[in-house]
Amino acid sequence: MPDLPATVLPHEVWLKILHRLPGHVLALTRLVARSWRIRADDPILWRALCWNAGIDTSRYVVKRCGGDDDDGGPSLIIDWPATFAAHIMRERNRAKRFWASHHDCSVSPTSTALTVDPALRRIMVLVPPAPCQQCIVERAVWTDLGWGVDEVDIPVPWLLASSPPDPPAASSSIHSVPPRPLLSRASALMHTLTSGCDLAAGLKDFVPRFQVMNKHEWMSDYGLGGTLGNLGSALSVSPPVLGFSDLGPRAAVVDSKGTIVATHVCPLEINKPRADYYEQSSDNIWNSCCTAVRKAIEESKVEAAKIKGLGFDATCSLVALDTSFSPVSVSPSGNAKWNVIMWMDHRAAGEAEEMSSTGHPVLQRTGGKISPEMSAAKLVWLARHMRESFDKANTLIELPDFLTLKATGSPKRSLNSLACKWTYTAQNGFDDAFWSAVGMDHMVRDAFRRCLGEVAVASVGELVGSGLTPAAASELGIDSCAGMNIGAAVIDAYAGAIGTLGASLDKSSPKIDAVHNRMALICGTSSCHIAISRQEMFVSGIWGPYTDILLPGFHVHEGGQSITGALLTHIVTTHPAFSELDSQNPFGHLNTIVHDLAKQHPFPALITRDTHLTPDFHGNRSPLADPSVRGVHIGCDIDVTVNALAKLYYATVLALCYGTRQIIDALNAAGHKIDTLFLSGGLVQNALFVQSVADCTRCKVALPVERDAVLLGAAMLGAAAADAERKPAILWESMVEMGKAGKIIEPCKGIEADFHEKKYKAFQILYMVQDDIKNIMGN
Amino acid sequence: MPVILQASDGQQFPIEKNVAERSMLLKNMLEDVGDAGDPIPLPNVSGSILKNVIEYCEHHKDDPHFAAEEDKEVFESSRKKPDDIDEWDANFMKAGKGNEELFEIILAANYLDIKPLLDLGCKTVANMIKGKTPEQIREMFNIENDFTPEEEDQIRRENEWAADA
Repeated sequence: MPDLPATVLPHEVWLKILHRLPGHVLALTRLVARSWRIRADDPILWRALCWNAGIDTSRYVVKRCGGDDDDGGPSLIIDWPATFAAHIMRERNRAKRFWASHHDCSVSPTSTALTVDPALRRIMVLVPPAPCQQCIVERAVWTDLGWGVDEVDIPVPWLLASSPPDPPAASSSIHSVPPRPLLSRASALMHTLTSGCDLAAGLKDFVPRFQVMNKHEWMSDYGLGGTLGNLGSALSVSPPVLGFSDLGPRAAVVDSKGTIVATHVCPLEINKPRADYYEQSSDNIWNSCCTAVRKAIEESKVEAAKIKGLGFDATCSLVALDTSFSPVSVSPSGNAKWNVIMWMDHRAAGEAEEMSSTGHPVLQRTGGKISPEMSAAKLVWLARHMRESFDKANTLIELPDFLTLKATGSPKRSLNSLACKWTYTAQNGFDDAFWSAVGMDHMVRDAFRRCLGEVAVASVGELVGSGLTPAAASELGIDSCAGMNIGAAVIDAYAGAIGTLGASLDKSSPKIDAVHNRMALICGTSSCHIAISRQEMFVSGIWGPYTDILLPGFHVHEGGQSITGALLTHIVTTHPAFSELDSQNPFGHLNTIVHDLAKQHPFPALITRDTHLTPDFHGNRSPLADPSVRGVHIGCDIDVTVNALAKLYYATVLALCYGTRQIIDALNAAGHKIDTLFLSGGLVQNALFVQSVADCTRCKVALPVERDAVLLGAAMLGAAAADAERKPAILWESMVEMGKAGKIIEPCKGIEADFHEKKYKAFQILYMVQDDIKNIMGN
Repeated sequence: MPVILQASDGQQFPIEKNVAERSMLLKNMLEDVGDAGDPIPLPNVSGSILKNVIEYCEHHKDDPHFAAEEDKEVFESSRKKPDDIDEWDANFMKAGKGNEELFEIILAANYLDIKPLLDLGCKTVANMIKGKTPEQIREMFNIENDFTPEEEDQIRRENEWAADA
């Protein structure tokens, strides 16, 4: 009996059978016989495949069909088979690009390797062929974020829809090199955020991406910038000098002209006993610093004896030590190893809120509230929740000062840390009433002994102790440098400002008063605006003035945006067209698209004429200091193409830059004369962003020659300390001597500048409208 | 009171009413004309096939009925349903049944309008096709390749996107 199914079964039953076949099998049945091909070519089958694949209507392939339609025009119909075929090809290329960008990812068809825990296996076995090594790594990330695997509830539609059109070409990159620990964590995240393999495609739908990004700023590996866990220290020599930062301690050897000769990064241990708890070990930190210094010197091939100075910076983490400077536990486990509450730890959120609600005048200098990341809040937490440790911790010290303590043996605190994170001021010290109000009378009674030690606080550039101790010199591998001057350390962001603000824009050396025209803008995941002046003035919504913390006799103002790179990431990764971007360099890809779109216009920004945003998706830090504000988006439409994404992205970049202009306007209205911005941080890599900063703020923008401004700044501190006896203004001289501006970006002029004025006006109106809406809605 | 079904070859099968009602055709018929006790002739179904169909309906007599409006959805959603088959159903389809019998059951299910059985049959055939080459499909169903070599080349070119899937 020839061709049984075709003759026996009616057409509609046939279709029911063929409907159950995936696209590539259906294509194959076309080869069986003529009668089979006719059935398999039924458009209804291919239309269902297209619908099930969720192909965007803009991607439908249209073909001309025989006669004319009723209106006399050629009649067009959708070519369903071609539409589906094109979809498969696109998916396949995307998968290839994804794998190509994950060199540290070992892929094998068998890597479903059911050696993982049963909960994860539940997911993986349901995912057809090739989940990669990263899928397994990913589990570690979930755990790290505090989501037990069991909490991950996979939505059923995804599981069922996951029969993949085609698995990524798995055999192409099998290699057994184990992933490098730091990179693979970052890649694992990218993996969640992109959709290269089927598992990741599914994960995207239920992993709260923004939470991932906020908590783990490793995104900086991907050119988004951001400083995290900086632990710096810089050695200065003349000729060569040295510095550190990011993730683990970085050390750099820097020459007297400000060129970074060599750097070395060390990993650090982080303990995460509970959600929102991040702990470190001060011994581990110091040992890593020593290793980083030794290796950097080794790599630079500079003789240790030639090193002339050593400067430190670090993030603001709280270190607890006893009378003999040995570690005191801050961990719920009571393990004395974990004696550092890391900067990003939010255990003191309740205390911070309580301190903010006092409305005390000290809050004027901290933007009206205490952040849980400030040591002031962590101190109160420690006194309340771990009283035993608090009583034992005779020395509570900020991490930068801990580094100078290890180097010199002197527990001298820096004004820089105390002013920015402990509510201390150069003029009045600690405010007794404020601390009493939050139940810390005991600290007031013993005159803040634990926080200040027995020695006077050091303003910036002041020397600590009697220089580098022989023991520390030996640990750092620079024995011959024992006795070298060590200056007070600074917080990493300020090291960034020091590293950039003194650069010469022409051939001449800028005078110190030039800082009035300058602002350091450190842009990464978030951004920080640092301006300096001789006058002490209060600017609403801007932190400070902090006196003597950066240049002696000057006051510092600090503004900021809580999300910058993070906002761009949010906008881009949540857009439907994100998966079509180059997963390795989505922002570079977007910049190219913007460039292409702009070709039809007199200037690029014109493509954003109808799209207006405010960047406050996570509240406004400066100049409104209102965490409850949210973003506004005018000009929404239903276009989900890559081009639409590029426009939205560009409009977001501009919104962020208008936000910076608002901050500059507030500072200038108070008496600053800012007209030049010194950019550093990860976003310096983004040309579109850099140009937009200049265009939107109407300021000149100077880019650093050395990408790592933080390391350079620490080295300048070292160089200044080495020559401290010579002149008091020596830090500025080091900043000028070693600071180098690379490219200078001029703001646009003419109609383009007029356009930005209009857009800025629209931007300001968005805030007025928000105010009105708030009033209408009441409470 | 049992319902009596009469196959094309005259064989009669007395069955319970709720078993007969698995078939939407019979259910509607019984509702429309009432149960007169006469045998219901089914001229399109042979005795041996009807026996199989009744066996299936007996086993599934207590399953919930498909709602009528779900019917049109099934066409689109069938792809989303996993193609795994209940163990009893799988054995039922396998047990000594050749292709011919399989297709006749599908035809009978289609005629009698027994949706779950029709789905089961289609699923079974689809699973037979998956993972096979065109040659293997021809062999399995005893089909003659009526393409010229040129036509075959042309189709292979059109199918390029589906290769190595």
